[in-house]
Amino acid sequence: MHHVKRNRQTPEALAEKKQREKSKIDEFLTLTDDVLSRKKKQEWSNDAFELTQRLLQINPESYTVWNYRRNILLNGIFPQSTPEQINSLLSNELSMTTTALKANPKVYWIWNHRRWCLENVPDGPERNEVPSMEWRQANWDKELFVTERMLDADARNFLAWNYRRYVLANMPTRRPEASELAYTSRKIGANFSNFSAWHQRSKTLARLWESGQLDPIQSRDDEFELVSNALYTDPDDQSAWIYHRWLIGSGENKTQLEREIQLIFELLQEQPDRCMESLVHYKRLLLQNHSPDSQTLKQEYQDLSLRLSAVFTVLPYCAMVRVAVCSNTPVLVDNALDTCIINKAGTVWSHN
Amino acid sequence: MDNHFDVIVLGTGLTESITAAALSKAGFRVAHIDPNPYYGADEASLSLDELMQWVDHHKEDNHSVTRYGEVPPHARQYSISLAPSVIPSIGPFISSLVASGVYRYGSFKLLGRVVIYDGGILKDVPQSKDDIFQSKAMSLLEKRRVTRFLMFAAGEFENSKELHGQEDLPLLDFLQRIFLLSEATARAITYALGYCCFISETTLPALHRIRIYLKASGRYGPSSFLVGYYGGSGEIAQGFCRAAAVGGGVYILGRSVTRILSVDPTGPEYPVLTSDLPRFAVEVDDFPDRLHCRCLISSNTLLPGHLRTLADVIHPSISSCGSPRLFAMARCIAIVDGPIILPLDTKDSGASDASDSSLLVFPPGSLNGGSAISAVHVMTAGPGTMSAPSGKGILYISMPLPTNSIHSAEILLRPYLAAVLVLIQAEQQEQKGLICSTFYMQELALSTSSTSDSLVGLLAVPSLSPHITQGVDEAAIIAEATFKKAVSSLNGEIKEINPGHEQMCFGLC
Repeated sequence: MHHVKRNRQTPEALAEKKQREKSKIDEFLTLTDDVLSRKKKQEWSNDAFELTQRLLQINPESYTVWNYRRNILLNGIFPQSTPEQINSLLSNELSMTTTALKANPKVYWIWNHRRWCLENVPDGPERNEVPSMEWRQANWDKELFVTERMLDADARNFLAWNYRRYVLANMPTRRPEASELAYTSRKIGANFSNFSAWHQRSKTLARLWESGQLDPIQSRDDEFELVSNALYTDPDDQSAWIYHRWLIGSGENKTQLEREIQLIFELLQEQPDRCMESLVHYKRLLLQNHSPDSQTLKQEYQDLSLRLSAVFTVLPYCAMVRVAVCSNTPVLVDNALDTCIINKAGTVWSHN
Repeated sequence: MDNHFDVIVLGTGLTESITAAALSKAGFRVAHIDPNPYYGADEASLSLDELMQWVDHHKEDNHSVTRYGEVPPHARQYSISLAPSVIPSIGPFISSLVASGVYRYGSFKLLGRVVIYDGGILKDVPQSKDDIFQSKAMSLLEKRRVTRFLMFAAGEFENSKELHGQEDLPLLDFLQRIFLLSEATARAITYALGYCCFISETTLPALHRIRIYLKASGRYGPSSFLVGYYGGSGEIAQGFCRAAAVGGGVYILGRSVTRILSVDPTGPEYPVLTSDLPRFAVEVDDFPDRLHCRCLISSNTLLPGHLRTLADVIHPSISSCGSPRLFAMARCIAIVDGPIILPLDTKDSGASDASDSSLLVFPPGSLNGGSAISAVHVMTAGPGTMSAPSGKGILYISMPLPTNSIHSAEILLRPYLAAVLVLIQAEQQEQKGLICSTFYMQELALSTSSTSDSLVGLLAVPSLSPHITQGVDEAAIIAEATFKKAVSSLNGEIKEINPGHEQMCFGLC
């Protein structure tokens, strides 16, 4: 979890803990041996099923045992069950893993097990003798709700975001993209220092632009306005700068590029230690794409680059530089800049 | 009943009650007396009919006290505080509440919105980076500067270059000059984040308060403050009295103290000189025998004049974060027929505000006909804190006064009441009427400096500071100081009742 400190314990406390854990460890090892030996024999009994549950409660990270459990379901239990029973078994699996997730929100294998469960929900129940999608819809809807709860608990859990994308993409009836955009707005509004939320927003917007539901130009302008609020409120926050970089793209839109450069320049006056890197990059884009022959622009760019290399020796400012190679750029200064950044890469790319 | 006590406490106000509870839990025999038939003294939580009786009683001494309207039915479903206040989520008071276990006797919820009256409309006051990000009212540059100020105020500003030489500058000027904030933003921060009372309040004490409140935000939720159910302070004072009683304290309500005598230990009743001889004898109305004690703690107002000069007055030692000395508070309590909902000025992007306890601040000079030097605080209360029956609301309007005012409370506060009613009524279609209201001036006793030859064991506790956010913390600090002095006058014994008992631990968070 973010912002949760590690617990430091004294050596005496650790020794005591070890003693208490010894009996638990023995029990665990016995159980593991039992389960794995049954697995080897390909035993698909209910007993084995119960045992895997006990084992997974102690150690949810054992992907072998998860796999075994799935095989028991597929080979032993499902063949003897009706669709209703299968649905309720899988709903049960999902409830069980929800509890496990709360305690272990970043264990991949729990998320995987859920995926498998969702994908195996049978069609049903029957309506007018035709199997409907109701069970599936109910389980997938619930799944979306689970991701929302996980993200309420830790809005920066990247596994939860990833899983959310998977759920949205695979639900029987898709949610409209606009509602996902609204969700990212909510998350960003609650705490704009959330790279995952901005990232999700960028993915959602890309789809909306492509499908024509939103006008890319107007929407981009709206996004620039939104992100500039973040840049100005906290210029130290990387996620906003990275999102801004994505919005600029390769800098084809001259008006946007110039306007944004101006905005960052004003922020630079206010906060001299933060904006240099983006400013340099955008000036270079302007130079490359729109005014490759402008001597004044070239000079401005060189001045800024020199200031930037000075800044880098002092401050570990961090935002990624896309080394846009273009034959029109003044090669000499470019090389110096790139070297500078690569050399300082260790200190440049700091925390978060 | 054995008439010999270690400590007798006069007055069940908040500070005295915290002290009584601490002493009782520390193993001392405590008797706690209050002439009122209710707990809480000048901070009591009263039902509406009790409040009107209280007002009528005060009208006898003071003709400028006014009341309007009739007591409605369900008067007992109202819990009205004579000292409306909020509890900072971090501070000595909340620590006392938690450590003593008294929090279990009451219920609390977060304060809802804090808004400021600016240019005739209500504006939300940003309390965090995310509020700033979402604000539609500030320019980008303003956002940068406000965030910079908040980071400064939340950090260690004591030796910072920004503060150097500017500690005594009024906060309003400091914000505009050093942090280049606009006047409107500076006002919002000064009065609705730093909770300054007057236009000239200096920077350093206000910064201390701002730092605590910034850190307090998030402890229990987005707001930096809690409000108590059932009228707040009075209910909490009663909780501390209950804790004192649990520790063996004896309670006498509704009886006045007729005489307090200093006991002469060389008199004939005390043939043997022992270390636990009483120092004071207290005669209580309708009690046949005198009560004796070795330490007498009294609220300033209950101590007879001749003893007041001999008492050791406890001063809050919080000079760096003290509020300015207030001469009086003009107060208004109004009962509104309808739920009180303050209008929103921006589209609500976050969670909807369910709390009906909110704080509305009128900076000095913001209202035509209002004060140019004092900030006015309006607290709302309603069924959410069980302070009013469903569908009704309470407005508390308070104006701190630095000097004697020639005007009555009603003249000073009427414009504010009118403005608030207009704001509430704009939100709903139907007319919201006033059921009843009262205006009065609360004069705060000037704290006399203690004389060097004060009587040993006689301690006077000043009135509760009426500062809306800082009052309860000051009460806890004074209670701790009083407790320590009482214990030292009782020869420093702290007997434990039983080892497993909760200790009253005072500590600044």
